[in-house]
Amino acid sequence: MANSKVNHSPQKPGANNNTAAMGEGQGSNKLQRKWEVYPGRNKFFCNGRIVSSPDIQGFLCCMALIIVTDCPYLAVKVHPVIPVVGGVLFILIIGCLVQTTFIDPGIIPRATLPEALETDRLYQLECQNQENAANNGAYQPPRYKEVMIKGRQFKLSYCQTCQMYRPPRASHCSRCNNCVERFDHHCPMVSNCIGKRNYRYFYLFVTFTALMCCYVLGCNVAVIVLRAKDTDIGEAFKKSAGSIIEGVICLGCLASVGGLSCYHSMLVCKEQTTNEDIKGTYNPRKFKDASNPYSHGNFITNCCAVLCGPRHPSLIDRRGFVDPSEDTQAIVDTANARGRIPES
Amino acid sequence: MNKRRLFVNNNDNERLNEPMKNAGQKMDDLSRIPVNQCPKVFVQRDYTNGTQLAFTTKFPQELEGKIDVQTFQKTVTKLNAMYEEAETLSGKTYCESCLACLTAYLSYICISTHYEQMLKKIRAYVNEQNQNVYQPRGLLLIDPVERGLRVLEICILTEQAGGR
Ligand SMILES: [Zn+2]
Ligand SMILES: [Zn+2]
Repeated sequence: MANSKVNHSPQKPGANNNTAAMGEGQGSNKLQRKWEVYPGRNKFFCNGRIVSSPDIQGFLCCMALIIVTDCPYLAVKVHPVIPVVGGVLFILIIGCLVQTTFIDPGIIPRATLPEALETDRLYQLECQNQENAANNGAYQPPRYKEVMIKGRQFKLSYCQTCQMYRPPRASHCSRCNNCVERFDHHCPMVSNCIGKRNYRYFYLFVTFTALMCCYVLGCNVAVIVLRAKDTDIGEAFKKSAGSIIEGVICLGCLASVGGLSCYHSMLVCKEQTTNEDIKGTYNPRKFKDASNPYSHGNFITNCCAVLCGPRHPSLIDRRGFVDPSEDTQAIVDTANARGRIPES
Repeated sequence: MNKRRLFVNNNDNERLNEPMKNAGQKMDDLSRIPVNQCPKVFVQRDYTNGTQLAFTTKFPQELEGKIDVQTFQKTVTKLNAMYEEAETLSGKTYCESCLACLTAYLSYICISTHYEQMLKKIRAYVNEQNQNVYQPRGLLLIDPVERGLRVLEICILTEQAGGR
């Protein structure tokens, strides 16, 4: 057995692979990258380095709104420190927004064909063991599997599109047609899913935007008050019409973003997602055991874990090369390949 | 992360040729079994402690007679420990995240994170285990990163799929 030669070279996509591809008669000169054949509905930019969702115009609107509301303010010079603070906040907001929109939110790659077949086979075996007399022998797609997480029972439902049991906290986004880890929601405003990898950037974006609104509003009020000191109030209002308009816009933004920020702050402290909150996973009125197994116990650790925890790697290998012998197989539905499963 | 291709040269090994002859292939093709035609064993994730990355150490039946339980469990336990080290909350990850935030996330472009370094270590460990333990026994571990960290895939190189 020791002399069975195994040529295992994942690090070299070079000559060896090209000749192999040609040998199989599928020799196209250009290797395809994996994002080009990706089955989901996401958009990719920069040769697969950037992931986003199909509707990018939301991001552009958002960007325009920020620039329109904030830039006029930056021109106002009351004290040299004030525009600097505004500028720093602005850069942080843009940084968070870019991260939220353009990184992979935690997409779970679809199951490979052998894995999907194996899941299917195990489920059929289980069905036969339970002897479902109602539909004897008829094929049933897998539905769910039960797991215990820190003593609480959870159902992992089967995703027909991705052909796997969704990991705990994951959910399928119908807009992007992908399962996303720790799915929070699909945000059309930033035009991406909010999931495990970009939740913190989304949260910081919302919070910084709320802070920015407060800051700009405060400065506008200060401008009016300072002017009112020099002249009478009516004159001051006339002179600072621009500040008033800006203040009203900021107040409007604050009403929407501030509420969102408070809501997400509450969720961060409890280490829950919007999705779980809406479904009431931890609502004691809905479930007998409503404990949250993902919480670290106290709100400080929860905040640190969500906001400063490790940055998880992107699981979809966008920049890898498609194996010409594998990609044709991957497209085959399990239904076609099901004939290969042994019956017993 | 790169394209993966693997061939087994089994001309040296009489036992390996038999299932292939049954499959009725030509002599030229006999020397190679692409890895995607091997039967595969899947070690699932263990969610009992939450969503943190860990694989179950339960020994899969399909591997019986191919590798002993202790060796298999040692590998999985070591992998789990390495993943735990990557995911655990420590001062280092806190500093990394704060630094990234202060630089408006530009630091992620040039600095590789603790997690990425651990993934490299894990890849090295998987390769080392493959070379020393699994390939002599006709098995091959696939780095879980290539399967979305959802399953640990073990290929049985000495058999052809559908033949079991
Ligand atoms: Zn799905
Ligand atoms: Zn989405």
